[in-house]
Amino acid sequence: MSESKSQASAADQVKPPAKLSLANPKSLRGALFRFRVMAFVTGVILGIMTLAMIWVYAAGIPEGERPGWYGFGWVAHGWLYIAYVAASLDLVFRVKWHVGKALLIMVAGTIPFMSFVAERYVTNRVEPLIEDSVDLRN
Amino acid sequence: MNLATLRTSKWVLRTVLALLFVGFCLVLASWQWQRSQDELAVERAALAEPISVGEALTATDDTIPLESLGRQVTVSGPLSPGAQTLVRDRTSDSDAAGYWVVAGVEAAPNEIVPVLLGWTATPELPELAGDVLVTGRLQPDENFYPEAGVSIGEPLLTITKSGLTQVWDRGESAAVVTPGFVAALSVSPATPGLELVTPLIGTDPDVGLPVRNVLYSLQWLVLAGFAIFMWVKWFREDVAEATAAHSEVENRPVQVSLDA
Repeated sequence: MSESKSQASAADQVKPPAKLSLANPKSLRGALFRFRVMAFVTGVILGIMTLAMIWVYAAGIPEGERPGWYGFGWVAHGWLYIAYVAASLDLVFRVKWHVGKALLIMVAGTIPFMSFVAERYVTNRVEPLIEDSVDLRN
Repeated sequence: MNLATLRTSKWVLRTVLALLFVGFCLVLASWQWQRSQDELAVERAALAEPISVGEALTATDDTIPLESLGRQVTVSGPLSPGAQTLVRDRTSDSDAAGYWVVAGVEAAPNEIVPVLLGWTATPELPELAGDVLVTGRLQPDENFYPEAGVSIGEPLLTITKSGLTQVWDRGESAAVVTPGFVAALSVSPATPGLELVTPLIGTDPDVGLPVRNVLYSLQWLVLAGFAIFMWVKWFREDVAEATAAHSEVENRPVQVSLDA
């Protein structure tokens, strides 16, 4: 056993392997699915509400005369966004991504149509992770 | 280990940003809460303003809308000559036994609004005629004793639209008696010999909580909670990592080369 080889193996021990070790790969699949659903739902409602807002301002409808669903839609978007943030956090913690990436994903939910981009980005990166992961049950 | 991790520039920055975000959320939450309170105040003030009785009685059936119950209303018009009656077993504000006097005001063509003008000790109707302007609170029909019979010329037991319709002479056109009655707070010109009685429903109707602003306010609090949760979670991970790295260095086995 040479000196250089043993040093390399020590360094390997400090740095964890890139592969994810999962107690249950199915639960990561579940987290990804929940995130995708929430990204889609938030994206759709934000898209609709953005169009509605453009309409409300273009038509110059004052605050008291706006239809009831308009206010309700924004409240619904707010709470769905909170569910989106919760789903994002759950997923990000599972795949151990860094803070910056997590914040970008969460901010994407507040920009019209960006949650669809975030959904593609995350899915393209998490699916290979699931395929590659080490199933600790085996 | 915790403090050392917290002192790193990365965590100083993250802590500052997290605090700023939480502060931002709290400001917006309190702003939305304030907005909900302002809206409540405006709606309550609007409901405290007297409106004409016609505006308060908007239902097409014989009911009083909930937002009009107890509301201050004004009634003006001539006292209807055939529409004046006593209600028996009623007390004054100082609990003296006697009668209440209910008179009809022709507030609109072919419409008589029952008004509780006040209390009297004796079963005699005072002279009631001419135009009056009444401000009072809208009360519901006293439907708590539906079996009570009515007879013309006798004091009533309860004030109800059906009872008043039966005992009042509503003229040839058979004017409609409006549901409920107005308990007078002030009558102009004053009716001599009558003592005003405090309305049973003596407060303005209340308004619902502005759900939208309250929900927005809660949303900001939840987002602040998420930020704190993220800070704690990532901080603990970093601390755990730093601790692991530390012990790794401490306990690293000494490599001894036997090849030499």
